[in-house]
Amino acid sequence: MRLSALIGLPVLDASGRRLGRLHEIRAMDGKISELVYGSAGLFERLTGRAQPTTIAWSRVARVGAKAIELD
Amino acid sequence: MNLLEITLGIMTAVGGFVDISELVFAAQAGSNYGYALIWVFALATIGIMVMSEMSGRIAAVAKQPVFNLIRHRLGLKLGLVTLIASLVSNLITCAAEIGGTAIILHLLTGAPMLLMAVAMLAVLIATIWILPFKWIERAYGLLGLVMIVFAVALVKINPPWGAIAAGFVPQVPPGLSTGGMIRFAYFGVAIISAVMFPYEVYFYSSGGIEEKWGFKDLPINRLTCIVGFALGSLLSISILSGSAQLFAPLHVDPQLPGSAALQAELPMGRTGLVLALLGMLFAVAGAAIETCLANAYSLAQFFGWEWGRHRKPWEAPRFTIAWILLFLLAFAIVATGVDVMRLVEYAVLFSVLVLPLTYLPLLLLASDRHFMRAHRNGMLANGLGWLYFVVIVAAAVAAVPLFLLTSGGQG
Amino acid sequence: MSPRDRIQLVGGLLDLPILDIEGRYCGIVDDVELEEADDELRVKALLVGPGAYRGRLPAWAFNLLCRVAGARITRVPWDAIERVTGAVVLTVSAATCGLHRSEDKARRLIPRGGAM
Repeated sequence: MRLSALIGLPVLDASGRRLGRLHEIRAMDGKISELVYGSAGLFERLTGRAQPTTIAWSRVARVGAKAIELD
Repeated sequence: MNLLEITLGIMTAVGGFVDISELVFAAQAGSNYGYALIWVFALATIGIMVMSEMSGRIAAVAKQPVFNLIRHRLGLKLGLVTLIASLVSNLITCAAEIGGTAIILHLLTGAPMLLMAVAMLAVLIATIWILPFKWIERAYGLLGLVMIVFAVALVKINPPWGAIAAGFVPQVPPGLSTGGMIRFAYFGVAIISAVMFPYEVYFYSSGGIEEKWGFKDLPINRLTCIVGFALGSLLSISILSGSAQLFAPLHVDPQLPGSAALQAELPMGRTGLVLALLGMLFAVAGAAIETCLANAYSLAQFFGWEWGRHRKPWEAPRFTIAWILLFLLAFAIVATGVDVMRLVEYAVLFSVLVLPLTYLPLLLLASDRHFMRAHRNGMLANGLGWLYFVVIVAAAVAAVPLFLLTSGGQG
Repeated sequence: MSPRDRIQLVGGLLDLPILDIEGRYCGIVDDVELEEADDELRVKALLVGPGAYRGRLPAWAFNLLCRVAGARITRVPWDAIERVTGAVVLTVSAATCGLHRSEDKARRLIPRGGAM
């Protein structure tokens, strides 16, 4: 699995509602720990500032080819 | 601080400030609009001071050259668009510089232009191959100080100093027709582009890494940018003012670089003419080297190759192949026989389009607390930086319509 | 920052230059490989080379680039990273990771001598 395949994927809640697009993944000691999603990926990249919506990786139920589903 | 190093740094910046585009546009601005465009030179000079100081500071503190951070901040897609655009813009500029040196050598020796272009190409390649970075930069920068002859010539013709001083005030000449206003605006945009060419920032920041700048070099970075560029800009303004005083009353439009040299011949005879041509030769040759190396730096930094002239050519082989091939490509453009002045116009046009993509990541990183720590932009640098970003975006938006409406400034 | 610290994979790793143990540039982080194991997702390797652009460029651009530069991908294991600052610094040489090949090929074309 590649980082580039995940970044930009829609993040859906348990009911399938779209919460935003994934634009950052954080790792701790090489282990994925958090996802950051929102609507302004390029802004995040340009400014280097974290968007406010962050969730723990443990909340991810499924990583599909077209979306990331939360539990 | 080592006083000799500071002095050499400032003098190199002075002698290396003027290139073929500034030469041509300064002379034409003076002959067409008198002193009315001096303020645009001053405005653009402050802009390049601000951006170069930031790029030098980033090189010294974050140890990041511009194209590394362009890719990191803009991402691969937008970074690649910026890379391709700046490669094209710098290549055309390099071709214009090589063509410019060929014209000047032809005027000095009478030899055919193409032969002179070949000779110049060989000298430029040999310069980069043989000399370490510091002496590549200094050789042409210090020799380019011969351009001071234009300032001396200006003093000798006793121009209206009050009118020159008044030229620093933002203005539009009264009584211009709509077409005249559009052409004036084109000259304004062209001067901004010529002074703030993106290759200068790529070269300056990569040069800071080549010279292993650290915190102790921050004052010299600031001094070089402020004092060096201010004095260099005064050389451009001398050319503009000489042209305003000598060519404008005669309705002579100096389309060729050689025409500008007449400003020194008229008050100082043959000696003045030869010195002016030599000064132009060294300044423009130095700019050819800077544009070529700027492109090689951009490629190498974007793709993560080993780069720099602080390494021997065989220690950074892909970088070496890149700058040699880029010189050959630029020469090939000149060898097609395309008018060098058209190349200058296209160089200025393409460069202004690339400027916003170059400066935005620079501006953002210079304010980044994580990378720059205590040396991030203060209020003044941030304020000026964003103000100039607005100016260059406006210039970029206006550039193509103005170019088309005025047929590249011809009317 | 060490690889054991908290790292942002996009903002703090992707598209950073890579320096080997000798301080030589040897590539850019073109993508990051992740692997799932025991209900965890871990960073496995950095991907370097034009082949790693797949998914990051439109298909036509990727195909054009591969015609020019090839489709090579070199994997740099996560545990070969010493630290991540303005660049990714490795604990090994470029040759150990296989990041030296293009530079070595180019070096054969450059004569030695004449440079100060």
